[in-house]
Amino acid sequence: MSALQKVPVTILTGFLGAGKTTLLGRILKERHGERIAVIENEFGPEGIDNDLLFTGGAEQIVEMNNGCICCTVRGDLVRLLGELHARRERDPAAFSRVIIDTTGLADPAPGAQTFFIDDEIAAHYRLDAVITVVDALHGGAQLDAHHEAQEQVGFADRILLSKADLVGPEDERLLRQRLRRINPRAPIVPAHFGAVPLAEVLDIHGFALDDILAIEPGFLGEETHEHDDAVQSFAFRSDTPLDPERLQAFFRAALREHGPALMRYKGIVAFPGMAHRVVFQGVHMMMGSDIGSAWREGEARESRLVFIGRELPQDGLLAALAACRVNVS
Amino acid sequence: MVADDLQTLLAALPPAEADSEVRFAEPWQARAFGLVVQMNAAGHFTWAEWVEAFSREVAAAEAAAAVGLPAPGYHAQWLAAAEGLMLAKGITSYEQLAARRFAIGAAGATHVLR
Repeated sequence: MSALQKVPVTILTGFLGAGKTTLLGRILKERHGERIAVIENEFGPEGIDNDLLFTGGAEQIVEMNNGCICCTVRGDLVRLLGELHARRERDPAAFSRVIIDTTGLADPAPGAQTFFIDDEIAAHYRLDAVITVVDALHGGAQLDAHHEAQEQVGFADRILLSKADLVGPEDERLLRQRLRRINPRAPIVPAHFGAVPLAEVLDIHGFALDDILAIEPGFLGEETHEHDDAVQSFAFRSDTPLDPERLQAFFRAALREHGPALMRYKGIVAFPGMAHRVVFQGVHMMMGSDIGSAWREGEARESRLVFIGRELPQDGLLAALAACRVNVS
Repeated sequence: MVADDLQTLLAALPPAEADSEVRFAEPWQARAFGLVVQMNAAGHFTWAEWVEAFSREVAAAEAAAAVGLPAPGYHAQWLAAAEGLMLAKGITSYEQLAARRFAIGAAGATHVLR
């Protein structure tokens, strides 16, 4: 057993020009007393000045040999993170955090999955969160033109909105609404010239099996919208406990049919006879679950599930979830 | 030291069916093995307690097999003993085990996020 703590890792995504490099520069300059290793795949025009900068060349997507199309990892990350770990074994003070700056068009999923699929990486690193920088000025057009932009938003644990000073309040409101429909669980944080409190970027615990599932109120069924993005979200609520076996069967079918399209999902559910919540979250076809906090005396045992994905058959999935309630035959 | 504990453990083990070598066909089997070693190292139970818990599972499996019922294999017995001991010692609860198993049943054992 290694005595070293797992190193938190942040994946930074966002389209070229959205302000990722500016943000990264600000994070590195702040006096946080930490040594941060940065993995970059391309040099932006501004460049990053950091002793611990690693460039891995092209992002290298590797399909795992278990025949599962979703279980792709990034081979370049496996190699670089392995080398970084070796360095840290020699010198535990070498670095205490890793930030991965992805290329503009990258799909964040293989990078994120690397931390769950590769045993060595999982043993030494903890994926903290995926942070997506969206340019308020060009974000709308980028969402229109590139499905990757939608995927980066859908995958995010935090959305940082840059250049909001360059658009009017109505344009900003509409963009926020659109981002909210794609991803209702990631808070949207303004990032003027990369000025974001570090607490909004680091140690977010986006993949933790906690009881937190903050869904923006009223994101469902709001006013009609002009954009029908391919990446969309929906939520399911139930005041009736869910049958665990039916819900497992639901996921087996949903992951089999829609695993590649299901980007992120999370649930906090009530099972009959259990004093505690059960929490789960997933990335494509991979899923983790754990016990949550105890239901309080007299508390309404509400189950809540949120799904974010590409062209999901929302009505069918909601109907199938409704059939998981215990008193439904 | 974990390595010393491992030797103690291996020495204390009831012999497996065909040979005394521990072999892992699947990753969970190695993890179940490592779990027991680590929990002993952390002082959660003694090897005497482990041998007792494991022997009970072996005996139960043999009793099941004797009357033609499906019996768990060596590593399933090992896991059952580990879970039983963790429950007895209050290290985990039935609800926690059920909660952790949810993702295994939903996504499959090879697709569980750790």
